[in-house]
Amino acid sequence: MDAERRETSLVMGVGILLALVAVVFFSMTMAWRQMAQRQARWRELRAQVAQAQHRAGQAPAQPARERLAARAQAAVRLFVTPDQVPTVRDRLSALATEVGATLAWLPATTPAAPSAAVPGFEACYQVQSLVGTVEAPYRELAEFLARVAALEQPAVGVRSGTVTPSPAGGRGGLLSARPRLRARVVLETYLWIPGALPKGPAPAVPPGLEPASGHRAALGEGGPAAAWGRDPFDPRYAPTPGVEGVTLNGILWDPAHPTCLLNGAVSAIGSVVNGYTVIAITPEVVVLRGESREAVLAVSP
Amino acid sequence: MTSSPRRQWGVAACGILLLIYAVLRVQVALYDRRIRDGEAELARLRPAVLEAVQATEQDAVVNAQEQFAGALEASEVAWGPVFQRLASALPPTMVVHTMIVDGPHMTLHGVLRYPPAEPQPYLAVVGTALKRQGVFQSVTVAMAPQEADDPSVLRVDVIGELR
Repeated sequence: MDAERRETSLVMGVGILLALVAVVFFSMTMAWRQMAQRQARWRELRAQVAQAQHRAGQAPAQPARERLAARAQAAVRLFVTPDQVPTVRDRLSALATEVGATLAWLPATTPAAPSAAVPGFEACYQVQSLVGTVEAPYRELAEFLARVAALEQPAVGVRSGTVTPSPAGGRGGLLSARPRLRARVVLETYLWIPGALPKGPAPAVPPGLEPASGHRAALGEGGPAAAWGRDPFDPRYAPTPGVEGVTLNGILWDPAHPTCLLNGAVSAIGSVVNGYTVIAITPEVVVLRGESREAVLAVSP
Repeated sequence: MTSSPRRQWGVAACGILLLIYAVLRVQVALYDRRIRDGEAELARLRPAVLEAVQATEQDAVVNAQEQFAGALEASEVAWGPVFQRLASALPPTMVVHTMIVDGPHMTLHGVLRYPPAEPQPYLAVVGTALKRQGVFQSVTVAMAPQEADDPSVLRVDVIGELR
C-alpha cells in the first residue's frame, strides 16, 4: 500500500512540476514576446519621430509662407472658374470696344478637352471655350487678338478662328474707308484642377519659346515696330513705297486700253521698265511686278 | 539531508527564473513609457509637419501653375506682328478671302490677280517672303488650275505653321 501511495505521490509531484515548468515557460515566453514587440514599436516610433522632426524643420518661416501665399494668389488669378466666365466675357467685350471692334458672343460656353498648346499639363487643367464673332478692320482685329493673348489675369488663349470680309462691308471707293472683317474666334479660359500636378518631371518650355521671346516681346515691348502694309483682304490697291529708277508721271485712263507715263514714256500693260513689268493700270494706280516684289505707284498729287 | 543541495539548486533556479521574468517585465514597462513619450512627441510635431507638407504641396502646385502660364504664354501666337508682317509680305496683287487659324496652323485662301505666265516660281518667292518676314516657320503655297473664263485670276492657298 505504501509503495502504491508513494508512486501516486511521485506521479502527482512530477505532474505538478511539469505544470509549473509549463506555466513558467509560458510566462517567460509571453514576457519576452511583449518586450520584443514593444522594442520593435519603439524603434519604429523613434524613426517616425526623427522623420517628423526633420520634416517639421522644413516648415517654411513666416516670410517664406507669405511669399508662397502671394505667389499662389497670383497664380490662381490665371485661372477661371465657370462662374467667372461671364465676367471674362464682359472684360473681353470691353477690350474689343477699346480697339474699335465689336464682339458678339455665342451663348454657349463649351467645356473642352485640354488643348495641345500646353503639352505635359493635360491632367492639370480644363478648358472653357468662349466662341464669339469679332467685327473690325484688319489692323484692329490684330490688335484685339494680340491684347487677348497678352492677358495674364486671367489667361485667355486664342485657339482658332476664321476671318472673312464682313458682309456689312464698310468698303467704299476711298482707301480711307477701311473694310471690316468678321472673325469667328474660339477663345479659351483655363480651370486648374485643384491640387493637380503634371505627371513626371515638369515639362520644359521648348527652347526659343521662353515667355520673354513670346508675344509680349514681339508686340513691340522692346523691338522696333515694322511698318504695316495693306489689308490683304482689301482688293483695292494701296500705294507702296516707290521703285528706284521708275517714276510714274501720269495715267491716261481709257477702260479699253489704259496707258500710263513711266519715266516720261508711254507704257501699257505688259511694258517693261527697269526690270518691272506693268501688270495693271487703274484710274488711280499702276501695278508693277519685278522678279521678287510688286509695287503700286500712284500719281503724286 | 541529501535533498538539501537539490532543494538549493531548485530554489536558485526558481530565483533566476523570477529574476529574468522581473527584468523582462521591467523592460516591457520601460518600453511602454518610451512609446507613450514618442507618441506624445509625434502628436506635438504633427501640426508643424502638416504645415511643412502643405507648404511643399502648395509650392509644387504653384510651381506647376507658373510653368503652365509660361508654356501658355510661349505657345501664344504673336497676333499683332503676324498680321502686320502678313500685310507687308503679301504682294498687292494677292487678295485673301478667308483666313483660317487653328492653333499654330494658318491657312489663307485667296487669289493672285494678273498671275505671271509661270506662276509657280513667283508663288515660291511669295512663300519665301512670308518665311523671311517671320510670319511662318514653314509654308506651302498651292494654286488651283487657272480658270479658263477668267485667266486674270489664280486661286491660291497658303498653308503655313505660325512661329
